[in-house]
Amino acid sequence: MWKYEKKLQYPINIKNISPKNAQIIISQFGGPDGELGAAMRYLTQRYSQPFNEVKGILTDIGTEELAHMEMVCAMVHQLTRNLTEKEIKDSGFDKYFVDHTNGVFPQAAAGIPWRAEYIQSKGDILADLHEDLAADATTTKEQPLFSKAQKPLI
Amino acid sequence: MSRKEQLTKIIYELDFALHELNLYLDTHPTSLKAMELLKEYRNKRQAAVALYEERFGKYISTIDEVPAGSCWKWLKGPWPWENNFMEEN
Repeated sequence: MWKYEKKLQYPINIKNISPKNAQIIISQFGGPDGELGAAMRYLTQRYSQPFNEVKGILTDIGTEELAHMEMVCAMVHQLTRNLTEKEIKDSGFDKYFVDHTNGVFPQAAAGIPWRAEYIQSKGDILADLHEDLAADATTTKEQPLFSKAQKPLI
Repeated sequence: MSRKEQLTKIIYELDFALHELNLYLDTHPTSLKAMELLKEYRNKRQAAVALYEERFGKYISTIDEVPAGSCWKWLKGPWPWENNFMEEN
């Protein structure tokens, strides 16, 4: 079971709204490499693991991913509060807003809702751990978009 | 930085370290050094929370909280995902 601790793992307090950035950041919640998928991946894979070390770490990092998800959702929420009609239309947030208003919905940046196919749970320790390694490697791919680098990203 | 912010920052930092040690011990369960560090940081956290509560009241509202006064404090905002959570808690 779980108990809720009424805090974020790292505090989020965003002063300026940005529905444009929110539409990109939301991928880290419900996108193919997002925190929701990460939490589901580890918390489902743990049942078929034969070793206590693996059961333990999948439980603990699966739990931590839920805390990450909460921070990303907090960012999306704070970036999209008190929007005017002009801000919604000019930022391109209108395509999200028409379905969800400023509700936080698990989807990728391009609008694809979160899909269970993003994760694997094969009942095989090697298959599952290899998938975890691949998933972990994707986390470095999201960062360059927000760096100040002027060179081509790819 | 106010005294309250200072103590909160220290508690967050210790929570981070404690969590990392927890993960390390999951895959290195016989590391005596990690277990010692875990104990050390846990004591430090306890001391920091005690200092905080001495001056500023209950550190974090949890569902285990003992009801006191005339209102169920668990509901008091702002909630963690809202702006100014740190300032007003």
